[in-house]
Amino acid sequence: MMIRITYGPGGYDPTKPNNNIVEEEWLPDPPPDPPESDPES
Amino acid sequence: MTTAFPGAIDAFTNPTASDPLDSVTVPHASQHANINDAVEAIETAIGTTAAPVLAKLASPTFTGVPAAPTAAVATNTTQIATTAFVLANPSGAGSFGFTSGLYYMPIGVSQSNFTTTTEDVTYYTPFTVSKTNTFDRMAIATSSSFSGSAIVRAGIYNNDSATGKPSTVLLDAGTVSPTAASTIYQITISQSLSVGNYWIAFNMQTAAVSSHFLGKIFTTASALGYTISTTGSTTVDAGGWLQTGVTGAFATAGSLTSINQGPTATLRSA
Repeated sequence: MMIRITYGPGGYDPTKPNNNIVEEEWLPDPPPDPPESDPES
Repeated sequence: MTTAFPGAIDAFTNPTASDPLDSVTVPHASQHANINDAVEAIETAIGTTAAPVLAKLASPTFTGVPAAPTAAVATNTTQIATTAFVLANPSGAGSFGFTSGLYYMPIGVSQSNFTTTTEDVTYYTPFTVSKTNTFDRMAIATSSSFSGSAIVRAGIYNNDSATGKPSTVLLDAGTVSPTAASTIYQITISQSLSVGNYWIAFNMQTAAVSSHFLGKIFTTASALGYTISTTGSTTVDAGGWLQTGVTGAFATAGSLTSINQGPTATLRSA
């Protein structure tokens, strides 16, 4: 399971309640991705 | 009698009270003939006879190469569309379209662990819109090895069609504050994108201990429709861009460096 956090318009705002986070949802895990690589190497 | 109208305004000699009805200066018959010619010329001009020179207000049929002002892109009114407007606003009629609620992302191989560690760097990934659509979320995702606390700014840039690079800011969606691994962070937006090419902007405003995010690799495919080399070999080392020294709100793109992969964001169709 993974979490999806939704901010209201404007995004992160510490002056708003809950830093402007308006929703948190649990989602099923996505399918696996190809093998990882370090692009900065 | 001929008249100067419509090429010029006729100058008629007005009879005066002292002129006889059939004066030598302007005979009465000539006065009538001049007026008749003027009326006929006006009738011709307004189209009540053959070969009009003025277009009718109702259902005109233009000849020659009529021109009109070109409306701004995405104009959706009863204003006349010129050929320039049509070319600037492709209809996307052949597009698959967008499904409400689904997330769309730049073409490329998914990068499950883009190890972005450099603060104040903006990564640009190409995104093509095939049909005008409104998007209501912009989402980034941390990878499974993310740790610490970061601040990421997301946005959309216009494409400079002359250079194939990001140009001006279309949308600064704001920031998110990732603090957990394997988590999606999305911002509520309301952005209509017309058919065309754009750049998704991902700015590492504040780096975490391990600023690892999901991204895209362009070594086999990209929204550009081709892969790119900066050297002439077949090694793909371009397709995206990065800009260093970016702090705060997004501004017009500056000095850019080619990259072949980068962290990116997805856009949810409204």
